[in-house]
Amino acid sequence: MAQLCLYLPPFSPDYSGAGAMLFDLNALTVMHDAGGCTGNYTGHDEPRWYDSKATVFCSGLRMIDAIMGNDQKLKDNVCAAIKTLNPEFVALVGSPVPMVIGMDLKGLAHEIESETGIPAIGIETTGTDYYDAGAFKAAKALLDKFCPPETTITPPSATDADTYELSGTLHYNILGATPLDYERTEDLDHLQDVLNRSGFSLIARPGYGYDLRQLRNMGQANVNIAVSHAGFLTAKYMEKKYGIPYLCGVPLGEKNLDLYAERLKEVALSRESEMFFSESFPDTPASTIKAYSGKCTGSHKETCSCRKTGSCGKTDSCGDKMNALIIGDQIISESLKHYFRDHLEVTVGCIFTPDRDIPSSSVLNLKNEKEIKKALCDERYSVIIADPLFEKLLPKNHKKLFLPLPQYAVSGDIYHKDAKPFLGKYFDDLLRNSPHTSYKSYKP
Amino acid sequence: MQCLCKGGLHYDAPSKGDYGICRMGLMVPESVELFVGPSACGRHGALGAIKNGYKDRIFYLYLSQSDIVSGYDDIIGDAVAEVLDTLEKAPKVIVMIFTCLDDLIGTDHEALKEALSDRFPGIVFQSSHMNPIKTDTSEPPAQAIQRDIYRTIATDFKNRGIRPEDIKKDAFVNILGAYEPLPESCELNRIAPLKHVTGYSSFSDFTAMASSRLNLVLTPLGRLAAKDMEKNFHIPYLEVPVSFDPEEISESYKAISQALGMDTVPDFEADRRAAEIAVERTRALVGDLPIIVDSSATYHPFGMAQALLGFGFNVIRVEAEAVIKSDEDHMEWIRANHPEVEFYRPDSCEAVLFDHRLTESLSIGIQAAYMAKSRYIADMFADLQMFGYDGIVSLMRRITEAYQNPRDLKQLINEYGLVI
Repeated sequence: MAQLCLYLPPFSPDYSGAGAMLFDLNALTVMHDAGGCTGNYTGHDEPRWYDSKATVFCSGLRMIDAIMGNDQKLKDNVCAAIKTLNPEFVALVGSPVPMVIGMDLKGLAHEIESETGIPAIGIETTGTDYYDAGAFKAAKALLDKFCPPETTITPPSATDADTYELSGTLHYNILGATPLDYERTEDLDHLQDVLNRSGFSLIARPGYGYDLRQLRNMGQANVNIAVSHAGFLTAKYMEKKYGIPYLCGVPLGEKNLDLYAERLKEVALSRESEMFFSESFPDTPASTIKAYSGKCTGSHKETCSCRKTGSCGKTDSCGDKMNALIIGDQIISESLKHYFRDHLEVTVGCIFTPDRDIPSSSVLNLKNEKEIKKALCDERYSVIIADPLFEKLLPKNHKKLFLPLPQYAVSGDIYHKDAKPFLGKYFDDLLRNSPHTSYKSYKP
Repeated sequence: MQCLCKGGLHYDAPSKGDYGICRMGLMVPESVELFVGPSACGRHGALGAIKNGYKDRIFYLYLSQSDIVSGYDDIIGDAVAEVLDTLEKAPKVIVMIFTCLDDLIGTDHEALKEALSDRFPGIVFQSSHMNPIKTDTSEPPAQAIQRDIYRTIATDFKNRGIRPEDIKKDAFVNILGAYEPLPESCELNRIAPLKHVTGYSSFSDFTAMASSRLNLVLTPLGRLAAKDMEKNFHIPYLEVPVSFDPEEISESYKAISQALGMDTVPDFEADRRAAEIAVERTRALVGDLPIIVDSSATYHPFGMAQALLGFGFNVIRVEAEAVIKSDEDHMEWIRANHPEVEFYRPDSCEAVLFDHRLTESLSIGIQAAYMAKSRYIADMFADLQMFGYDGIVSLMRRITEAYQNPRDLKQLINEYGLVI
């Protein structure tokens, strides 16, 4: 159903997610569109575009070709570009018009591959889904093409522990890492450094610093890490296809890094996938999250969780946790929820592709701006953690505590200067230094 | 020398872009926009609107796949009602922006506008398109939206029963196809008082553009608008492309004077002399520094290059995504007289090889600056605020500023707030 959006921009579409997943590879990436879709991706959804030599192009789809079903023009242009640029493979990425005219991009990719001998994939994105769905479609197409199970030596489960005992190394992939969720590369570098120091060895982190050789080896991992919803979808697919277990979720705060590495090792050796945010953590140091939490002190009694259940009944300070709403990628949001679990009663607001496979005690599927605004303005939530653009949906004089976490898939480069890394140790810094609410008067 | 014929895959450098259809449509005073299409299609326009400070005038109706299949005409009315509910003051005009797929679906826009006008009396509804899929047709989107800006007046007149013959003409001349008005320093102001769409804050005042006695089309963007206004308001038009060649400028003024029925051409000798002095000073300043001209700065990059070569500048390259008809003679002149000058397409797939770097150069236009990594960048875009001898002075000033105060290109691109 159509939805009206009055204040927010559209969020990153599926073809941008696909583009982000392909960006690092020596691919001839062709967005099959008239111009605006490619411009959306390169101009607003890809922070790595400036000064890059990524071979991402627009097909320049025109009316007459769409009406007449003239696929030959696209094929000819792709073949000409192959001769000039010598890519390792070709990726055709869909947009709304190919969807409307029912174009078979996978079939066309097959034809291009047959005629040129260059591997080609078709990714049938439509511009009507979100980036997480597109990133997964691209990851799946890449794995199917370049990492078929028959070429992968999957470590038999019985020998994983032995292998680890002998080599002291477990191999892993980081899945779902694109700038649309992690604008700052420090996040992934930090996570990788921590895990490497703990005896892990990275095979690939598709979407953020990888190549085709690494992609081809992804099926040899002992374990996968899913750091976003796109990563979770890919991890589930790889578990099914290659038998690789996964740990889903991200570590926040220095103190959780070692625990994260331990849990990853357990998952790898037990071959039982787990959600990191469903684990028991030690209490997070109160000093670092003081500004964003707290028991009800009386002044916040209207927004404490007891009001929801009616269990408190006290007129003064009741001591219950305050309610918070976290909006963003669902896996990152669930990880944040877990981090704050001793201090805040968190509800996660899902604004991208909803996924019932993510276990959560409290999720709101916010399908449109009206529902997002209603949730944000809900007086139960006294703490909001979300992209700063969402604060514009609140009344100007709101009294909520707003922790701004800019997300490229929401606000593009608008808050680029304010985007900070937030995984692991960086989250402690983020809380310590956050100005709380400082984005109301944004001026470019 | 690269072939400039269109074709092949398109490379979108970070420096590529324009004002965008949404931004242009909002030039209509007291208007708001309802963008109707898949959510993806609106992202660049919405982010651009936030950055440039007009997001409070654009609203979005996202279409799902089922809406596209079943048609969406009948859901627009409720969306308009909801938009109006949120506005403190009702707009005079609602410009509806549809996307590429609308051209394939066949929405009946006349019926849609009629239904909306019946439901929301007093508001002018305009159907417009952000449809690059029609770029190579007789209605390219950037020209069509310029036309649609003035069609809102025609619709308003029709609603009020005003016929073209009822419109009383005044002494003004409209400037079409330019995003911004000409500066007061431009000598064209001395021929006739000028009107530009950005000069109005109310829609009713804006309708006075239908009363002007002549339309001057400064860039190809204004062509469809001029033809439409000739039909709707009986305003004749004259195409006088922005030029930096004193002889061409002189010819333009002769044509304008004739179109206005003037007996003699005004004396602009002092303006011409001022331009010559500016050229001499700038030429002495930059010496033989290699200069690159590109089509992001001017719609006639070959014309500008020819003029600069004539002034004695060391133009070494012209970059253009396409050659418009009125620039073809300039291109041929350069080909014949300066075969050393390189032609280059910054949107070709070869562009990504970045094998045309020339840091020690001065680029006029951000596309060339990006491709060449020029140290010096003249801040000029889409012929903005350029015309006549004053345009030459302005161009020389920008070259001088570029040479004396090198700019950061990434910051400059960001300031332009372009969308593709």
